[in-house]
Amino acid sequence: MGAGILLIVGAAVLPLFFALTAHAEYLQYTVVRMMILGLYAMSFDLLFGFTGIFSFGHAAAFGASAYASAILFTRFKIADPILVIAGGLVFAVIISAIVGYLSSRVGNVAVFLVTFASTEVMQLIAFSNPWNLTNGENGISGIQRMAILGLAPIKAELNFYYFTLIVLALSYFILRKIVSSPLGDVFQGIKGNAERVRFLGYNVEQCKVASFSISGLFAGLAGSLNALHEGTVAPEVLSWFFSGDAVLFTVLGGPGTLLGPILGASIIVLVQEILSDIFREWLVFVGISYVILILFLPKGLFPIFSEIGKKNIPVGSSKVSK
Amino acid sequence: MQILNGLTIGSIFILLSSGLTIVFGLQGVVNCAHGAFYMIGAYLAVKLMPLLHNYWLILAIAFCCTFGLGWLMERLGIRFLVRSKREGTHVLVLTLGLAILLRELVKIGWGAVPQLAEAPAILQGILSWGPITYPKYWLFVMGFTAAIMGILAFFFQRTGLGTLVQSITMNNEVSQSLGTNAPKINTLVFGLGTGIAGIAGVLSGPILGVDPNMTFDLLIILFVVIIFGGLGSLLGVVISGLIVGLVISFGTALITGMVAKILVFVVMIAILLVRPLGLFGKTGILD
Repeated sequence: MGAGILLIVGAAVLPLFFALTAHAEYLQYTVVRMMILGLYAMSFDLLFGFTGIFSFGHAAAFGASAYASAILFTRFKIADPILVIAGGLVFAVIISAIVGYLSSRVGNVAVFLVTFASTEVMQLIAFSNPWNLTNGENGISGIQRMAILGLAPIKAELNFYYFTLIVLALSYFILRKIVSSPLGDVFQGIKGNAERVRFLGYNVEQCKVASFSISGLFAGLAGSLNALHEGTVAPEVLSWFFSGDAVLFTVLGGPGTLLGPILGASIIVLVQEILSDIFREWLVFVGISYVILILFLPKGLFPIFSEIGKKNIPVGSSKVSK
Repeated sequence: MQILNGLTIGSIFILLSSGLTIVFGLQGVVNCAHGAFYMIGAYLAVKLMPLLHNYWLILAIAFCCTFGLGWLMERLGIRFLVRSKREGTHVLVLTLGLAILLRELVKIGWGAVPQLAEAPAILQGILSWGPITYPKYWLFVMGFTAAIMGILAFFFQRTGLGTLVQSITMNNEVSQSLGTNAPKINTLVFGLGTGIAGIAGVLSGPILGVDPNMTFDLLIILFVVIIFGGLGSLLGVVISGLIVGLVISFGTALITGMVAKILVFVVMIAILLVRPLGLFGKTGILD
């Protein structure tokens, strides 16, 4: 918990330093991307790091919510961002619950295939442009950032920055509460030994669906935010490659730590920003980091950071490093 | 005509999925990098053809190269993960990372522009029989696939090594305690699987084209094939490969390719839910 508060405070004061540079808006934009993708990765961590489900279709919830929000705004002319996001979340949870239901009925390796295939189906549907809703491969553009509750317009990058930060912080505390609740214990029990959890009288299938739905809710939140932030939604948000990103961020940062995936997402966004201009095949580094991490650092980078943190700062939490 | 197209595409599916399925049956490893070996095989054919002009030699070289790479991958990566008793998902992540890495390296080395490989001179041209005309090369692909599957079946049924592989598939611990060097055989079979993928790459180059994205293009279809056929079953792969090939070929002709693909995925999920063993699966490996 301590490390989380530290990170949030750090992110809150960061724009003050950005204001000193000539590229304040660009830097804010980049950090907002880190936060959105961090939220996406953190929601995956609940599924992968805590419940031990290797879903390869996490993009489904993100994309479903992004598309639903975009359609609500452009087709149904709903201009309240809270309603637009809420609509996206409802859709994301429904989709995640369905995928979770299907996945909970099959074995461990087959979950990978079921989630993979489900997302692929959704992407094909988005491509095929049903009722002219999804606009095929071009995707939906022209989503504008609207005023929240008529108060602060999130149009300006700085306002969006703090809006995203608040959402991310709330999500983090809620997820932290969930994983330390009895339900969270059951999730971790399923990861450890699903048979024993079943013998204790828990309905493992229902718990898996719950894990999928909760994780889908937060992934959906990231998806809606992303739609508002970028102003466009393209079918790429439903690609399996984007699902793979969730895995990469989590494995890089450290599964089962919640904060680790945010760190992982931030590092990859940073690497992408720096490298993609000078080196077109920067994905080589993604491949290499997958291989090196899984072979030599299966716990990810975050435990290293929190160990250092423990020595220097007394608030470094023992719970995070687990 | 659609039938012949379906059978030719199905042949390539069969070749690719046979490697995937024997590795899965043996070690329970889903190799996401399988398509990378397929791509490497195809690129070797494109790049070596102007130098060597010998199709058969290239087939042999492609097999050896992809066999060697697969051998290395198992020996240095997967065996390490299995030895240190990691979760199955770690192996998936490793193979996925290698797939991305190999694809990007090929992009850097050989460029990302899609190409079409050239069929060997003897096999160019069209064969006509009554009202049906068909490219010779496509028929050759079918025949060659049949030959390789025959060799594989002979290997597993009739040779001593093949019998050992089967014994490990059935019960790893017992066969090891009886003196089988299981890790060595695992590595060998893994290489065999990736080697066949390399051959499939050489064969499919003139039909489906060659580009770095082939690493992942067919992967999900291959999963459908091996699940439909029953994991670890060679006979299942042959039959389901042909069925999936025909379904996609007819689906693309009659309805749009998009709908055909959606149907294939929905069928796959349904099979996993209703009959996880597929058509010819014997044991519940997936559980």
